[in-house]
Amino acid sequence: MKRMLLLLLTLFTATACSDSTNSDDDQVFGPVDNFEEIQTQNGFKWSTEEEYELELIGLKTLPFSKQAVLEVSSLDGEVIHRSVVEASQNKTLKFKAVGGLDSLAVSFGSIFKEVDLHANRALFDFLPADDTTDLAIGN
Amino acid sequence: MKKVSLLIILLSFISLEAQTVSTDFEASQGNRSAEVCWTFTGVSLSNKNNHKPISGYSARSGTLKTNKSTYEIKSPFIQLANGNITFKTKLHRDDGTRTFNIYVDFIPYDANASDGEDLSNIISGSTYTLSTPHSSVQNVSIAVPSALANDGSAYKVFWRFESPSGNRSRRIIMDDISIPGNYVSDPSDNCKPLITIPDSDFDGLDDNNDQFPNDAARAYTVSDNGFRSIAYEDLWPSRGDYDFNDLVLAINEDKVYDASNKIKEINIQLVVRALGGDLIQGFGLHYDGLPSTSIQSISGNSLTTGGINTAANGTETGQSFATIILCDEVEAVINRTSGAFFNTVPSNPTGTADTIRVQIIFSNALNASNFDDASYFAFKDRDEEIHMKDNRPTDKADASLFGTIDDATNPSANRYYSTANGLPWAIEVSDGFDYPAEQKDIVQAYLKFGNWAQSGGGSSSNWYTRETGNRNAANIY
Repeated sequence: MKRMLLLLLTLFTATACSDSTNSDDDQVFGPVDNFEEIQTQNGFKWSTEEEYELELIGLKTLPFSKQAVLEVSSLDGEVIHRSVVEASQNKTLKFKAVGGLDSLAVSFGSIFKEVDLHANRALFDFLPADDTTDLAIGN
Repeated sequence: MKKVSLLIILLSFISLEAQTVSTDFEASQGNRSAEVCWTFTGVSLSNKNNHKPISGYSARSGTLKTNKSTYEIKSPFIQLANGNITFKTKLHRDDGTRTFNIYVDFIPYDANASDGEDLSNIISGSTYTLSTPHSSVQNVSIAVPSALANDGSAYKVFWRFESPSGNRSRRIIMDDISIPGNYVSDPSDNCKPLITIPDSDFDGLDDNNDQFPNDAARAYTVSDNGFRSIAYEDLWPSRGDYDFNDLVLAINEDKVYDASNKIKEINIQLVVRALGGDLIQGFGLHYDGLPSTSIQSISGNSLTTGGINTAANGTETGQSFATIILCDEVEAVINRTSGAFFNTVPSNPTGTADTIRVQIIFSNALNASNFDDASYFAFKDRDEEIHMKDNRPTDKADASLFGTIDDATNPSANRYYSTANGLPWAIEVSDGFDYPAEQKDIVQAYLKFGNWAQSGGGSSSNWYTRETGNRNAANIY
């Protein structure tokens, strides 16, 4: 009985400690000893570059045209993409960059935001960031 | 209905109707940044019942102090017009007959201030004293000073709140603000008034944003970060030793776009990093699907054999789609130090290579999607091309070799340069790739390469970096 309890406790502990949101990098496929043993998907391109999408949510009520260069960078500061965009319009930008990025830094004039990628896709709006530290005052 | 409401909320956080800047805070959904270029200090936006909003979302200050600068609301910059500034206000709870004041002033624009605010010259407007009972909604109307209306300058309307009889646990609630005038705050310029900047080449992009302000065909560049590598095996259509160093080509592209985001020009730097065999003679670039006439000119490529026929624009003749031979004799651009293997045997002295700088100018700027199928390829004899998997060959490729030996090319299935089980003869690796040493299988050089490939690229995507556990340095050049 003690052994059974110990086994259950071990199993419970192992389950509780396992990460239920494994990142892609945690997935391990069958090990291979040489290139010819590799089994892969038909559409695989054999490139470490991947395609990303950035969906821009336009500021529809901006009462004037504001066209400028939007810049997309990695969080290391390396510029990945640029595009002339109109702040009032929705648009989807597509570009290639090194695979495995989790976030992007996006700037449009003085507007700067870090956006998270999900399945290589991220959203960006043209709302200036709000510093909410003032809300600690008397609230 | 919910969707419609959401759409309205997302798209209409500020309404500009007949020279009026107004907000009822509903679009914000409590997110202050959605009130574009409004500034709140110690003021939140809330619709919670216990916060006593006036209607839906309202602005709500902290508990009022004697210092009138503790809580503030600033409008965006507005070119004010004649008329009245109106808003609704109340205290969240009555407070007997105590006095509570709302100051409504004006901040002029200062071009030298980072936020454009000239706080040293605040223009006094009006002071409104809340009537009792404080908790009943009060409609306030304050005239825009005649000196400011229609003067062509930009101002922020500036609300401050005061409890002159001492700090009180009472909060100001405000809602339904309306200001006569034009909204001129530019959210992409720290909300300063929109400035019209000259556009010298009339391409639609102002000179501040235009890297080529006097060239309507060019507006900005996008440059690769460093050099990516394409690494080839040279025994196609037979399988090789998979050291992927028979040709390692480092590539850096710098694309020049016009103001419509079309590509006008590509500048390519190419360096032969390794030549681990003697079969590959040259390399080129195939713009599959792009007519040769799309190219205006090509310069800087290395053609030394006399064996490549080119049209006046520099593209290879006899091709359905634009093909550029970047180098027709690899030996002409490398400087060997010893032996048959160029930079693949670690014990040998390192050779050097020239940087080939190719400029391609397009007749008319092209959508980026035209370049989706661009393929850098190596060739042995000119008719024996090696492309990355599933990239189509040029017309010069000897089609009789397809499907022979280990190659399982099947054009009807859009399958090219692939073995039956999907293995390639070329791989593309981002900046920072140290290729395997001579005859060292890449799987034995990069310990997570197999996992990356078997995952279809989804796992171990940084297999080629120097991160601990990625490499077997003994098998890397």
